[in-house]
Amino acid sequence: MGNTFQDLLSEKKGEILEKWEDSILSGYAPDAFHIFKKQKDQFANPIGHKVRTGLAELYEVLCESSNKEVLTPDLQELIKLRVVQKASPADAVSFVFKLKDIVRRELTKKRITESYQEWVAFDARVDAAALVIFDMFMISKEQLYKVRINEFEHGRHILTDGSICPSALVRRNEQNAEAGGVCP
Amino acid sequence: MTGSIPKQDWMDVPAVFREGNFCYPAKKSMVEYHKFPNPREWSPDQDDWKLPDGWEDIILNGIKERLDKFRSFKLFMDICVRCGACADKCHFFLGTGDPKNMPVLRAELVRSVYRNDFTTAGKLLGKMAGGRPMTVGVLKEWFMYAYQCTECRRCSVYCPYGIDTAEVTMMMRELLHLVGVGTNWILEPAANSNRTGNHMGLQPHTLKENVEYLCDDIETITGVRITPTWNRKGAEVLFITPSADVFAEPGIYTAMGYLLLFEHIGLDYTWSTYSSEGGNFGLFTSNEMMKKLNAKMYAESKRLGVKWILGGECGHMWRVLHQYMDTMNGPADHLEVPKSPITGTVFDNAASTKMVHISEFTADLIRNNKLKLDPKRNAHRIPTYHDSCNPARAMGLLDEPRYILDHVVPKWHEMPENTIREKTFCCGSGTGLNTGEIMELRMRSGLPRANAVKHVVDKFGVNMLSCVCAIDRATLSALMEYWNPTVGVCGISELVGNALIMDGEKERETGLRFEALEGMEG
Amino acid sequence: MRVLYPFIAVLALIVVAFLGGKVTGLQYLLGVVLPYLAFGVFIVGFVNRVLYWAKSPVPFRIPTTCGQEKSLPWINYDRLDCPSSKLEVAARMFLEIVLFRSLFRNTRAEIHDGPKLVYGSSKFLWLFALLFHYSFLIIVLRHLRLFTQPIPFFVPLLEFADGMLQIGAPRLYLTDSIFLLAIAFLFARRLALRHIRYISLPADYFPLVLIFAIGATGLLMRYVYRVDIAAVKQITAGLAAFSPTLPAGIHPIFFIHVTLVCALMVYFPFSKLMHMGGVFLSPTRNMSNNNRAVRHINPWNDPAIKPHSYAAYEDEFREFMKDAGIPVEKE
Repeated sequence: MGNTFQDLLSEKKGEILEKWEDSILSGYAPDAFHIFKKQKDQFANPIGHKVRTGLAELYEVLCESSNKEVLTPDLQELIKLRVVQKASPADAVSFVFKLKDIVRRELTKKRITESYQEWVAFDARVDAAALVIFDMFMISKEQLYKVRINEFEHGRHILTDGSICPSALVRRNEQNAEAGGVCP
Repeated sequence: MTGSIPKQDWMDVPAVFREGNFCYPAKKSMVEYHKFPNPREWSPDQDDWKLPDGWEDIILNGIKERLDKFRSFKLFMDICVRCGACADKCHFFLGTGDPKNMPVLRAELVRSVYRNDFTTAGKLLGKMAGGRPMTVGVLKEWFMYAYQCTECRRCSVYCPYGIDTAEVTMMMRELLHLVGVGTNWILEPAANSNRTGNHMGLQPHTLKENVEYLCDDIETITGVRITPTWNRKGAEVLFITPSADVFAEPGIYTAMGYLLLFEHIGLDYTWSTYSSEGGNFGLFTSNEMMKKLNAKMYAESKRLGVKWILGGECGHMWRVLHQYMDTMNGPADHLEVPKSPITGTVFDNAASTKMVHISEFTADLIRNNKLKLDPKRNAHRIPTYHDSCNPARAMGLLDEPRYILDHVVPKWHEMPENTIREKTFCCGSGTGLNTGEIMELRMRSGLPRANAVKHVVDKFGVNMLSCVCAIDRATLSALMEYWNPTVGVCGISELVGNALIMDGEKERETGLRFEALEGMEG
Repeated sequence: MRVLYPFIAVLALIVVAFLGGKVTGLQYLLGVVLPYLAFGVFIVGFVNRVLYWAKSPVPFRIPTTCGQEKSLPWINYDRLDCPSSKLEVAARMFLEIVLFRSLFRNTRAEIHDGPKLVYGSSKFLWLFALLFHYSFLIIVLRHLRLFTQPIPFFVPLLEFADGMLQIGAPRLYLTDSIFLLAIAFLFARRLALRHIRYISLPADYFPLVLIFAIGATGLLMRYVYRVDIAAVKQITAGLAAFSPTLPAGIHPIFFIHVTLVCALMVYFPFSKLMHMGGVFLSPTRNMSNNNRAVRHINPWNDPAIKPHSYAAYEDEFREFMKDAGIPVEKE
């Protein structure tokens, strides 16, 4: 039988992606899961959309004979989403490893003719991708902090940061005629 | 009928506060300043919120009082059929996936208490009728979800009965204040606004100085010196805009736009230091506070003897001006029906309130060919337009800014149909949620908006997100910086100012941000 | 539990009515006393609820504007979605109430990143809600035949149109089947969509079950048990004329049907079903967006709330203002 590992991965792409997607979306409340899963309009469902497109891109990189880098725009969006969703770095990256499990389960349903080497190579690709994604996560996390710092520097903090007190008088009353600090 | 019922009823899922998912509580001094009840040091992530004795009764009496005062509240408590049309319309739900951010459930948080204590069915059947008693857990839920709603009214567009979650959220916030539960980032600007006239707490001389800096920049860029007046009696028009416009980036460029525009047409107007805030954080607190802060506008217009008031670009400011001001603080008999001194247009739509939106005013000027404009100066900008929630859904200001855009930039692009106009997505940080400590939450709730912007960035190469709201200018900047780093944020008036050909100006080499103008000779 | 209790409640009603329908003394109670009582509760309860709402003022004019405002004369404004006159508001309300326009808004065609039709559920919600309400209305109107003499002219017309398919004898009314189908859909939707199931209360299932049971017993009466229509009309006309009579030998199914209808009438004013009256009062829909042109009055507006006065402001900042060259009132 001529089923190569690559062929099987391409053939099973739909099912595998679907399961992979579910593994991420099932992290949300069941009600949200339903909407994120079913609503195909990307503007009415940005989370579902970003998960879908991000995973599809990564799948292409990992499972199909493409020379693309792991860092693709849609995957970047997915990682950015994980960053602001309070996921810990471990949580955020773990979804990559789930692919191994899903792929194994899907492929064992088929007649496997692929070699041990091919599995090892596949695992190695996934592991390498996980490291890249970890970097992506940290870069976006840093970017998030930069956003907050920039907000501060642009004077928007007065609009947006409750921890700064621009009201000199109240502070003065409070601290008995001490200067108002940041208040211009 | 095998459908298994959800494992956990929503009533049994407690609100959990962790650093980063709540706005900091109001400082004791702020609560005292406003003479609100129960000033104390506390934090939402501690178990004990130090509520006053008998707080349950305070809340229940508060509900009773508000039911008697607001038909909307009564009605919205009674008539929801839980059809779920609103469920996936909320940007907070779409960005967080938290079911209690579905507008219907947000309102159910209050309805459940209402049913339990104010309806026959609830009194008889309790939980069977969907009722539950007022407990600390319920109160904590209210705090969490009343401050994960930006009162943007998007759900109300889709509701078959027009149920407006903004009304419910306002009631929740008012009720929470009765027991001393509020956020600092709302009460502090409100305190500043009351005392110094603006949220920033800018004192009169600082305010004037800041505007002078902007005039210096304008002179450098255009060669034209502008000297605006302050607190001047006898001016024809009083101009009021959010104080962020004279202080924070990128709002200052919008303010430069105003200054250039008024100079260009020779408007007889004045700024005020006493009433130097267009925004009104009272809207996010209680209707009494809103009235008190808003009252300065008419008071100042009366003192200065102006004929009418012109309002700058701001979202919730215009909710207050359009839907509340006249009712609360009118009638403004000391003013005249606004009439543009340049075009002679009478603004009949503002005949009673006597306050005109800058976009209405500018659109009229352009329509009557009173502005000399060179849209090519904005050729380096490929804008899209973000409808701010309040002007869109509580006023209907949709086409004026678009008309202006048509005339001040060579080309601009709309975002997808279900994300603009009355269906616009909120910036995710309105109603006093624009504070730094919940940055991640803001990035989530702003995701639907950012996602639509990304679409036009990819498709049309859009590089500027224009809007008519000061909070947008601040919060969208952060949102874009994270989600779409190539996109800037600007007010419509900035684009107007940049396109204006001023009398006696020099060749312009840069735009109002000192950015090089491409394609401009010289 | 949320689904089960409503079923049990309706089942209990049916059992009570069935047993009662067999006992002559109770027949009178179910066929005469209960309808009067229920109708009374319905009317009084309904009016009461509307008065209860109306008692609270509308302090602010808060229409949700879903289109361009009326501002400059050369900008076309959206008369339906952003009405500025009473007539336009009436048109907006009319479409809202008659066509469920806001609910329809849900369903516009949108760009999808998949080929599948995905707005199905929301489109169906509008469609089935509309079907349900209209078939309910027509069925209620058809029942007028039983209560009025002479029969209003439109009733035979409705019956004719409704029975157009000419299936069976007595003729199958279209609305009967649409009605049951629509309720079944609305019920199934509540169960099938997870997020809708999550927000649904017993109070959402109960009316559906109850109304379905009413429809089903009605059908049984007409097509299966063939209840003596003349006898039924004798009862209903008697009720309407306030001279109730109760002919003997009426099938118990009639009493079940009547009891369920009575239960609905009693339940109505205390439930979400009051959206029927409430929709007319909704301030975000029934007000015109002429806020700045015409002043709206708030009866409890508190004139005692004053701003922080200019005098106090100047007292605090006078020196700064003078230094900065800003005019002051008092030197």
